[in-house]
Amino acid sequence: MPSGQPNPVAPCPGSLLLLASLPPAVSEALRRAAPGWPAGSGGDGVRVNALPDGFRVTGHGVDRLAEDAWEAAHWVLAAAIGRAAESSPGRLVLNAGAALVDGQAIVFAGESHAGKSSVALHLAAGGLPLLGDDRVILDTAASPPTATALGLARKVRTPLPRDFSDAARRLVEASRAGHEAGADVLAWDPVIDRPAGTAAAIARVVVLHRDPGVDAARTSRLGTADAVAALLPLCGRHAGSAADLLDAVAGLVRRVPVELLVTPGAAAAAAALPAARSA
Amino acid sequence: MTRLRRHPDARATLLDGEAFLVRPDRDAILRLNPTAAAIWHGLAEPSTRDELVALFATAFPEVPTERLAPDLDRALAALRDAGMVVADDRA
Repeated sequence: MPSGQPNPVAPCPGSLLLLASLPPAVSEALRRAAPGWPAGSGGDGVRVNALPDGFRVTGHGVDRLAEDAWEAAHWVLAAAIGRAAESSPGRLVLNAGAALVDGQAIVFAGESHAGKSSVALHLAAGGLPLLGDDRVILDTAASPPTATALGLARKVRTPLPRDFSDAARRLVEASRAGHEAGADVLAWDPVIDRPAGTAAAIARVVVLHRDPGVDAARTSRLGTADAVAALLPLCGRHAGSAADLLDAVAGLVRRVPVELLVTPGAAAAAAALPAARSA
Repeated sequence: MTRLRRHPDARATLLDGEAFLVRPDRDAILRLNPTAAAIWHGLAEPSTRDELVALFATAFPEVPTERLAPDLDRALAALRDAGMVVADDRA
């Protein structure tokens, strides 16, 4: 599938329309958290009711109380993304970022604080478009398997790590414009970030493992069992049962190379990724 | 002593010769280490814990029983916690 084109088969967050209107504060938070969604889109069938001390978000597997509009927007997104992931066999949410190289997705997966957002920043600073920096939907039943952008703003944690390149620092300053300063700011650049629903064939999946004790980034190819074991804990909502998830991940790793990247930091990881080398 | 058996809904998937267990009605997916895999094979027929220890002792005569048993107990506990192995109360 060519990059930059909405996937006409797979319903994604960008194709979901609100059935119920959102409270204005939640709508504004959603606009900033998911700037890659079409204006006016939201979670199909997701309801947000204003309460005296917050909001209640219900629909598509979510029933949560939120203390403020940001949290409510988070749960709207969770419901919509979950619905998109569960809507078709073989589909799953992966805790991963993805960059496009020659129209194909290099997916970099990892736990929270593995450095996905920082790696994404470095890759973007090197000129690569992004499908996301934190979560993407994988369609393992597609041929070839695809990664789909969720249209979410990127996370930028400040202060930036010391290993950040000058180019990445400049990109942060440029893309955080319009957001107030804070420990975490949101970044979105239409030149870099692909909107919700953009899908691309997966060239490879790289599992990030940060280890400050190593001197340089090292990549190794994972066997089928090790790849499945590495990816399963990084999967979120998915279509079908746990058995279906196992089949989906096993099917993915049989068709797409999966590598382990042990790295001392994000800059070294981005430099070691095949995406960075071929950019 | 309690006889143990595989849960009838547990399904094993082999990848590169390694087994992953999953139950359709549960979220957990279990990757079996060599000890757990041996237990799973041993439970092709319902067995007691002591019968499994004896089976292991026969299969690994070079390993003292006092080392085999704790490994087996840990793996068996993980299999039972995940609902992949259950008490055989059919008799």
